[in-house]
Formats: sequence, structure tokens, C-alpha cells
Amino acid sequence: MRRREFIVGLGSAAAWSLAARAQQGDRVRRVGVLMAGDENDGEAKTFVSAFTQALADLGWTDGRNVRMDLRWRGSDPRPQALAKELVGLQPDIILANGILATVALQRETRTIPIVFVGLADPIASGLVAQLDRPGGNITGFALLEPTLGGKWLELLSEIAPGLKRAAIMFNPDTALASTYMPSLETAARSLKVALITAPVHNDVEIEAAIVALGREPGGGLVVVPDGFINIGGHSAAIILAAARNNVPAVYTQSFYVRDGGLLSYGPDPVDSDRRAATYVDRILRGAKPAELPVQLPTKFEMVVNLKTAKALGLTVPQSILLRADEVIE
Amino acid sequence: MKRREFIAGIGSAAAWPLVARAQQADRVRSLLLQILRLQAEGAARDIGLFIKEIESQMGWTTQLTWSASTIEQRRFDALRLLRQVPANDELAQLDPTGKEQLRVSRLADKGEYSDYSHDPKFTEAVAKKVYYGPVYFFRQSPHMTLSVAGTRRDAGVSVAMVSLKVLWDVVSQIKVGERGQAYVIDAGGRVIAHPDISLVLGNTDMTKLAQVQAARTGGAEPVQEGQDIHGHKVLSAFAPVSPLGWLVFVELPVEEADALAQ
Repeated sequence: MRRREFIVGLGSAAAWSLAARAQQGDRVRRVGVLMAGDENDGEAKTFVSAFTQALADLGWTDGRNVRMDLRWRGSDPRPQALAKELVGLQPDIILANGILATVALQRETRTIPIVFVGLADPIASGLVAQLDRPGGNITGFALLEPTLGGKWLELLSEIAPGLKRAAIMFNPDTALASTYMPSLETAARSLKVALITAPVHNDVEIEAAIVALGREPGGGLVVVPDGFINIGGHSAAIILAAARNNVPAVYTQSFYVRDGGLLSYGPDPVDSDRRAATYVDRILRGAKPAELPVQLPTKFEMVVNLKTAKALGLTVPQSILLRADEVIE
Repeated sequence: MKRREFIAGIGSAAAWPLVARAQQADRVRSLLLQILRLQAEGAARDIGLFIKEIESQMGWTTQLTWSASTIEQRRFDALRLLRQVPANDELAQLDPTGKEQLRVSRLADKGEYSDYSHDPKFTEAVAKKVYYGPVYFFRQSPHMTLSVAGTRRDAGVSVAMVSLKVLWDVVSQIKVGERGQAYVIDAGGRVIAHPDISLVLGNTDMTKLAQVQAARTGGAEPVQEGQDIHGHKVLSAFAPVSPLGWLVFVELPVEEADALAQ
């Protein structure tokens, strides 16, 4: 008797969740996605598939009960036309990847829910009123972690023990370097490293700043996460100049290191894409973005490039090797 | 008897006597409660295993005595632990007197080392080998302290800051019917995981709910029909997370349950 009840119980639980899912499918819901990068970018593809998979795990399958409209921003820094087009489709919700995409969408709609990923500080960017109660039609997953500044400097001095001066590179028009400055300054004091700010607006300024840094030994570079630097080949300019001028550099995103940068440490972006699906699911089921708190990163990844280290004459210490999620040899 | 029930079950609803229909509704309800309980037990087991796993991984950071190991060795062990255990955000190592000698963190260093000699993170761990701290919020997500003492007193104590965000995943994966949901409360009766994260961040006290009260006091019959935080009637089942004193609840609106029973 007990066993029979148990089996019936399990059977009906399975059938039941199928029925619940079928009911969601009464109306096909539309999910717009505005991606940074372009569709040939392997990393961007990984993001999209992580999100789609996580959404499917929650019962929303593309082509069945949800329709995904995907747009790629490419290297266009003003994706306003794409944002307009997506909003014109009147989707139930839009997933926005990166600050430029999110700001462009914000200009187009104050009603369609927007879930963002891959941007640093949604308060400073004017997207939400406060983290735990965003207040409007926008919420999401921020990369904001002010103490990362100190971590970058710690790691830089660990991998390059002769570090005396560190330049903090960012574009003042697009980056929120001030978020990271307090922790950078604290770490600089305890590591006895002099901080230099290196605001840049183009490749010429990038080159000049790194050449200056490489003139004497003991120079290092911290590249603050920045929508400007990450697109349009500016990352390549930094990596190249750092290599030519023998400057060890630390970055936030791992693609810098795969492209020849020395070391990266920052939030795992795929993790927040996966988590973004949970908010999309909730909003499709009736939750209000105004009441869904902005979540902060909990998973961080470290990538180190041994080839680059060798070219810089650095021996990567065990303490970094055993922490690295990926080692490029 | 069984056969007769079966025949009644496939007979048309209109032909049922009212009594049979009421019996049917009761059976569906008890079946539903059983499913809710199974879900709660599964989730509670997953959460318990998650904590136990971290505890056992921490074990090897307290195997060596302070006299037999260098600080550099310990630092490597600590870094390796953080690598192995993604939910472990920070690890401090205390010497046998309770003074912090080493700290590694995924985030930037917080500076000065502390003296834990009168802190339960140290004293409770020494007394009971393991200490589970209360749940607290840091950077908008739940965390707890987990301290583990070595088998030998002079091995000291390891203190980990553990991210409990995994609870949110466990809770969001539980799907019961259309509007059923799961949540977790800590030993103090505050919600630490709930599909409605604003309740979690608001650190909402759930002890006023009848089913939570009954589950927390234990002994008496569990409350199978209670109300959710918005006052809607729900079928409710729970399971304890040993050894933390947390409770997992899985609930389904009575309205939905009644519809299923027809």
C-alpha cells in the first residue's frame, strides 16, 4: 500500500509538471535579446547558449512556448536603432548584455521589463534607483564589486614581484573607475605601490600611457572594466603595447588573456547569464522587475597566460597557478 | 476493495455518490501532501549534503599542527580549498590560541588579522569540533560562518565564510504544479531562500505562519493547511535540514489542490 502510494505520487508529480509546462505554452511569449559583440564571437555565443539552456531548464523552450528575438550589437557603440527595433516587436521581456545595450533600451521603453547582464554599476549608470528595489522596469545582474580593485593590485604584485608603480587605465567617458579607486588605494598603501591614473580615449593615448609606464622597471598596468576598451579593437592595442613595452598587466575579463594578456580576475559572466534566466522566468510568471533586487556576482574566475609571463621574464608563482581556472600554455 | 476503488475511479464523475467524491478529494489531498513532503525532504537532503561536503573539504586544512607546518604551506592549502569549494568565499586560519594567522579571500584583503579567542567561531569549534554560525547577508546574498577544528588541539581552527546562494538555486528548481513553491527558513525563523527574493533580502520573519510555528516547536501534529505570507491558504509540508536547524517548506495553494481533486 505504502509503496503503491509512493509510486503513484512520483508518477503524478512528473505528469503534473508536464501539465504545468503545457499551460505556460498557451501563449507563446516573446523574449528579445540585445547582445554585445557579434554572432561569430565564440564567447558571445557561449553566453547566449548558457542563457537559452538555463531558460529551457525552467520550462521555456525557444520555438515552443517562447520565441527569442536575438540582435547583435557588434562593434556599434550606439545600438539605438537595434534597441528601437527590438522594442518595436513588443516583446514580453528583453535581456540586455552590457551597458551600451541596456542604456539604449532604457531610452526606448519604460514599460517593457529589461533584465541586464554584464555591466558594472547600475546605480551610477542611472538604470536603477537602488539595488534591492530597482523601482522601474529594469533589473539584472551587475558585475559591481568595488573590492576587486584591491584584488587586481594584489595579484599584479604577486605575479610581478618588482611592482613599484601601477597605472589604472580607463576611459573617463565610459568607465566607472571611481568605483574601484578606494580599494585600489588601500591595497597600494599596504603593497607600497604608487598609483598612476591613465585616462585614455583612443589607441594613441593607450600606446603613450603604456610606453611611459615601460620606460623604467617596476611598472604594471590595471585595466578597469570598460565598455569602450572592450570593443573596437582597443583591447588588442593594450595587449600589444603591454607586450612591446614589457609591462605586466591585469584585466577583468578572461578574453584579454586568451588574446595574449597576462592575467585576468573578475566575475564569471556565464554565471550571471545563467542566473539572468531565473529573473526572465520569474518576470514571465508575473513578477515585477521593480521588486526584483539587482544581484551581485558570486562566482569569480582567474585566467593566466604562461606564454605571456615567459615573454615578460616572469615566473608565475604556485599560489596563482593553483587558483587559476584556466592556464594558457 | 482495491478493484472496487479502481472501478469507481474510472466511472463517470456524474455517477459518483457524493461520499465517494469526498473520499476521492481526501485521497488526492493526502497524495499531494506526500509529494510536497518528498520534495521538501529532497531539498533538505541536498542542502545538508552541501554543508557537509564543505565541512569535510575543510577537514584537511586542520590536519597539520601549527608547529609542523609553514605559513606558506597553509596558504597553499587554503588557496586550494577555495579552488575546490566554489561556495567558500574566504578562509581564515586560527592558531591554537584563537589568533588569526592567515586569511585568503576571493575578494580584496580586509587588512588586520583578528583575535578570535573569545569568539564562538573559535570557542564553539574547539568545544564541538564544528560550528555553524547564523545566516547573515553580505553583498545582497546569504552567507554563514562554518568553523572546523582539527582533531589535535594544536592544529587550530579553520573559519570559512560560505556563500549560501546555492539555496536559491535549490529553491528555484522545485516546481510543484503551477503555483507551488519552496522556501527555506533559518533557525531563527527568518527566510533565507524564497522564489520571491525581496522577502529574502527583507529578512522576513516567517514565525507567524501557523505551519512554521508548528514545525519549529515540533512535537505536535504538523500543520498541513496553513497560509502563505500573503494570506492565501496553502497545503504545506516541511523537512528539517540537519544539523543546521533550518527548515525547508514546500507549499501549494489550496485552490490549485482543490482544482486537481475534481
